[in-house]
Amino acid sequence: MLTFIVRRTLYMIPLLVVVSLISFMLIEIMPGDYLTKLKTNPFVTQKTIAEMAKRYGLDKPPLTRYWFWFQGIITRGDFGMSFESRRPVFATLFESGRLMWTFIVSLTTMFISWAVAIPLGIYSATHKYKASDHTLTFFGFLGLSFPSFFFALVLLWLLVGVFNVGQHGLGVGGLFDNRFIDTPWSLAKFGNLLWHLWPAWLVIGTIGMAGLLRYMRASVLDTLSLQYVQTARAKGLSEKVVIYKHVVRNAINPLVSLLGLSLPNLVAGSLIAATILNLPTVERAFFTSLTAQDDYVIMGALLFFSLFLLVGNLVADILLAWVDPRIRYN
Amino acid sequence: MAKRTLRRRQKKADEQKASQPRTVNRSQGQMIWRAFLRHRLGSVGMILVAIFAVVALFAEFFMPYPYAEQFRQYPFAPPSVVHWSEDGTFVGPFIYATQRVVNQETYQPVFVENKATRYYLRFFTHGSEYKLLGLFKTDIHLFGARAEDGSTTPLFVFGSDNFGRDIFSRTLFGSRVSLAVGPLVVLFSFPLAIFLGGLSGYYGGGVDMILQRIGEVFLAIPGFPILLAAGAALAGLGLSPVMVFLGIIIALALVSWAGTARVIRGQILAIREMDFVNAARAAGASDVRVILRHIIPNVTSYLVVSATLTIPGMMLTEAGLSFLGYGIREPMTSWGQLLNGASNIAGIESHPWQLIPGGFIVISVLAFNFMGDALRDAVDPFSII
Amino acid sequence: MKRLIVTLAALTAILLIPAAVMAQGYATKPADAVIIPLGVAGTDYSKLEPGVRGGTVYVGTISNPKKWNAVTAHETSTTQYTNIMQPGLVNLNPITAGYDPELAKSWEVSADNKVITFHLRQGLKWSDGTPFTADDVVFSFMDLYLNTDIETDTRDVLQLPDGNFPVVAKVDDYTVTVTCSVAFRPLLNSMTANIMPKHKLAQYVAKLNPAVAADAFNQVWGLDTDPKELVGMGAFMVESYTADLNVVMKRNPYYYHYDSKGTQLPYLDKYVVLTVASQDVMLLKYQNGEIDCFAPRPQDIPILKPEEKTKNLTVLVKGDQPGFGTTWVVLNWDTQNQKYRDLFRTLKFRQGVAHLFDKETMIRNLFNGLAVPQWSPVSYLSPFYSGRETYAGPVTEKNAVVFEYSIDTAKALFDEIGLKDVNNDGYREFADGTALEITLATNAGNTTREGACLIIADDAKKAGLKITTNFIDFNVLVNQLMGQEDYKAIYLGLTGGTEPHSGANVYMSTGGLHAWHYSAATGDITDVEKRVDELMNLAAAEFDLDKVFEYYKEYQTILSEDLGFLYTINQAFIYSYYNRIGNAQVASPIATPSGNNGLTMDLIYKKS
Repeated sequence: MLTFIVRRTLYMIPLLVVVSLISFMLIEIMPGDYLTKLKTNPFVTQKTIAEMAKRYGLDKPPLTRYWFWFQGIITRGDFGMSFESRRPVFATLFESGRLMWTFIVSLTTMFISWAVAIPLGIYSATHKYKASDHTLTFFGFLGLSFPSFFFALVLLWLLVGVFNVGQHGLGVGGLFDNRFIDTPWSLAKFGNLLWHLWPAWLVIGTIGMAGLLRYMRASVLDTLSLQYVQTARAKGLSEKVVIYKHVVRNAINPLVSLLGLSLPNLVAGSLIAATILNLPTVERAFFTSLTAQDDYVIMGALLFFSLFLLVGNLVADILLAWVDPRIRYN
Repeated sequence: MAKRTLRRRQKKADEQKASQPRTVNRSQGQMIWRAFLRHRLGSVGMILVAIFAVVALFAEFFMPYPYAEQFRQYPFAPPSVVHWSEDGTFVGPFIYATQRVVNQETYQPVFVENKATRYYLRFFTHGSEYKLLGLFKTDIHLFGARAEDGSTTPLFVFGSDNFGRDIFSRTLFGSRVSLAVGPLVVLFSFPLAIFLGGLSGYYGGGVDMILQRIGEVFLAIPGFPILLAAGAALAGLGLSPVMVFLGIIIALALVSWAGTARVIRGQILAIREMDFVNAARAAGASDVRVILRHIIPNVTSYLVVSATLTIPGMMLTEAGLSFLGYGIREPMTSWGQLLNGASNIAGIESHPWQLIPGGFIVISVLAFNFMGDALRDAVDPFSII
Repeated sequence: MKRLIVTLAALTAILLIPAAVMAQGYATKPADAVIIPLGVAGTDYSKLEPGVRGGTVYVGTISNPKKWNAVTAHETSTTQYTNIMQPGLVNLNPITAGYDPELAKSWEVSADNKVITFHLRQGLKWSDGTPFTADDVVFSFMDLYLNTDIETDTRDVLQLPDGNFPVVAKVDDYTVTVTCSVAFRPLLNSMTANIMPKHKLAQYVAKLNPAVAADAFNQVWGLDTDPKELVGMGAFMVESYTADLNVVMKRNPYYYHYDSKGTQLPYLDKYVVLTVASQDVMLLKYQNGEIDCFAPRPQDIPILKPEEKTKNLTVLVKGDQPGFGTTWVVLNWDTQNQKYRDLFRTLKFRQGVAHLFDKETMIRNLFNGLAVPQWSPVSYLSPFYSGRETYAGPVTEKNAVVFEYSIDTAKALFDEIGLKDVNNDGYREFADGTALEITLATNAGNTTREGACLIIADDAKKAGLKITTNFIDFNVLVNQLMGQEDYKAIYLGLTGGTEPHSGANVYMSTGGLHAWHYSAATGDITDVEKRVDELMNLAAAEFDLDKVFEYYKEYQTILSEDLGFLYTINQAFIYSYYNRIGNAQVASPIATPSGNNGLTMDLIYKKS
């Protein structure tokens, strides 16, 4: 197992290089560049734009630019500067504690949605085709059929328009109410943070939950019909023991793989919901850089997301082997 | 033996055979179909999908107006109110023409009925010309609103959008894109995912390493920039809208195959050690046969769920792409796009009827899902219904 | 004992003197302070009222700032803060749109119109207490804006018609001269350029401090800077910044505006800008009471208007007052296909297309009635707008060049130039029978522009002209507009200002944004374009504003008739604020309390 982990970690390096190359190609395919928007400013002359192109290195051919960037990383650990704010790439992506907030929002959401979806999936499977199963199915797919920003918007609209939370001094969107801006931490401030976080759990979590619920249900149904389950029942074990000790352990296989896949969502997912709910996350900084075509910030962000996916996959593979003794990596 | 004894024995054998329950040989496919039909919700789902498909094919017939026709005097008109009787006497279904009046105080528009003329709801009426199935020229529509003197007024079943376009017509027309995009992406990405995920899980070792790393490259880069770039590249080629649509499908499939492949690989890693696989191998089955006929059917559960979950996701992704300028362009439309246009505060508060296409997404998604459930049950040899 | 007392006395003195020095604000009102006559009858500010000090006001904005450096800023998300922090020698009057003396208290123009002498206000201090002098002005222009090491948009605006740049020189501590090689009236408008503190920034300019790199100034005062380092003369200075959440600005104790009662402005203690990425959520936050004033969109008005009484807010709708900027359709006179080139250069064709614009429907369906038809390249708000009869006179629209919505007129014009439907497919072809199809492109995602294109295409169909809409990525659109890719027609808009000369880049034949006819720069110039160039140059050299008005009137008339840009509509001014915010009614298309130029922030106060 150890050699497996070491080999996988070493493989990450060439993979990241490939990812960076592909990311760069994608940026090149996208029309225009950082200066394009500036060209529509009637007060700026072509000459100034040409000067800026020279200063940012945008007048050089793509491969040269990529090579300079690559060299910078290898020799100086310098991932480049943002064109927009003229700061190092990761300072731009992670400013004002964005990384911390991204993790807090994503981890809590993931934890809550998994904690809700898996028992519901099991319940759904064991009560197959009963009214409760159909209800859960319906709400699950309702959650999937509407775009997340629609849910976020409707939720905020309900809070403001219908429940009038402003009257009670409560705000919507962002992390804190106005009165807590720039104040030190306190119990009240923490409570306010929770008030601002729960819509995120609801909106972002719902989307993941629907899928998890369906997968868990299908997986449990598969396992329920296997022979060893009948054997366990025949042995006289209580249904609870059968389900939780035998079925779930085996049904959880596909979900462990999903766990690895959902890790990049930790940092790169739910962009739109985060925009509506006004949460300071890394993916928002990434989206801003994407629309502004701030090349090096985009590259830095993509590398960061990729690293997370690779780590997540590795963790998932390890977990898979640990959970399911039948699996060998030979 | 005497001929009579033989005949008597034959007759007895025949009688015995007749009194026994008949056994009929069915193929695996036929068995799956019958099991599928036994699943009530799945059958309902299938019928719904069939209805949607028929409507999509013959959309122009069911639509009272062309999808791009603007009734400029009726922006954001609410659904037409159908009356059945006037002054207490029953006359049959009809509507009144409406007039948009803006309240100068609140800037809220109101559509006031003009009770002067009755426009009767007529079926198989003449309307705008179109080509049924792209082949036959005709101008018959399922219904329309026409007064006795032949004049018409727009009949908005689901209301109108900000150009005065009939949302009902646009919903029907948009069904073509929305119903096609999900299944098409599944059609393109699943075979690829099964093939590569299967190879990866079955052979393990070096093959697994390489394929998984390739998959990771596809997974690592967030789908969104890949789709943007693919959309930009396609846009630059100047293809016809249908080809652009296909291009988007392929791009979507490329973005999604890796995730499915990974899960399949995980399940296969578990299954390949099982006894029946070893038995098949011992019996001399080739690797391909083992993968296709023995292992893959066991991951069907996951595949079916994944397919039914992909469909709504793809509907919405396509709408997101179009919003950015890649994919279906205005005035062409899809359910996701219609929903996009309605998803704002003004939409929710002032003209909520714009959200009705969202209901169509939910219904079709549920229909696909129940079909998927039934399929899953029908294919599972161990399930007890 | 004696030594102890002396030591104690010395210590006390040492402690007290810095305290006295650090006591924030002017001890007495400076003699040259700007007095804003709030509530004084007969002045521009008569409709407002003097307020009380104290309180915080919250507004919303869509994007984060990119830096705190006014000189290197490129977009409004940054300048909305830097324009508050560092005002210029002159500043826009939020009520009249004229130019008021700001850091300069007066100026004279020499007899040959080539030298402007500015007399600066005396006794003013920067926000950290350092005295403001002419050194700062000379530094800002000569060492920053005109320094080629430094990346700034302002340099282009300062350039004179003959390619030279003005020279700013110090006469004494409070007098500077601006010397130009040619008389250039619009230069006065460029004097709104932010004046930067020499004592804080000179060390980063390579020209003055060889120890730093040439690029050093372009990176200074970025978002990582401690806000205490930011120094300016403006009403508010940045106190804190949290990405994606908010920017908190606090009162500058050395601000030099006072009201007529002698109260130092700004009234507010703090001015907080919340970053809200979605316009819809901003509306919700406004309804929720978290934001005090905000610029709604036309579709928000029916939602807000009914809440005026219940929530005690005001919704301002000025249906006949549009903002700055232009929106138009442009036909590419340099498109690759020769037939289309000839067609687009035919005036009657352009006129026919202009008659297809159903502006009334666009206004009703896209803007809920809250927009105004546009006919001129110059903004309605400008004192030079040709809809006025005199410079800065009232708008009567007597001279507007109007193309009425008339499908019949369009049809007649198309018939005249020989476009007939030969094959009876409902669409006209060229005179020789080849198919005629025009692609009208605009940026996808902008629903009002998309909507306008759809309406135009629909009307074109009625006149037999085939126009297909194409909604594409904004960057692709810009490439096409800049002439790097071929296109037939584009629907887009540009920002504008009060000075028509700021459109030089667009309307002059050699301009970098002369979108419909780039080949004019290389000799293929029309008579109209020649006259436009002449008028621009005449107006730029003339200092008598009435004469300038006549030049610009002719300029606007011939441009509107020539239809280089076919103008469509402009959104009318709408705004909303809670009644607890005093003086918020100053909001107009020129400036709002939540707008991008921070002009009214010092007048706003919180009613108790």
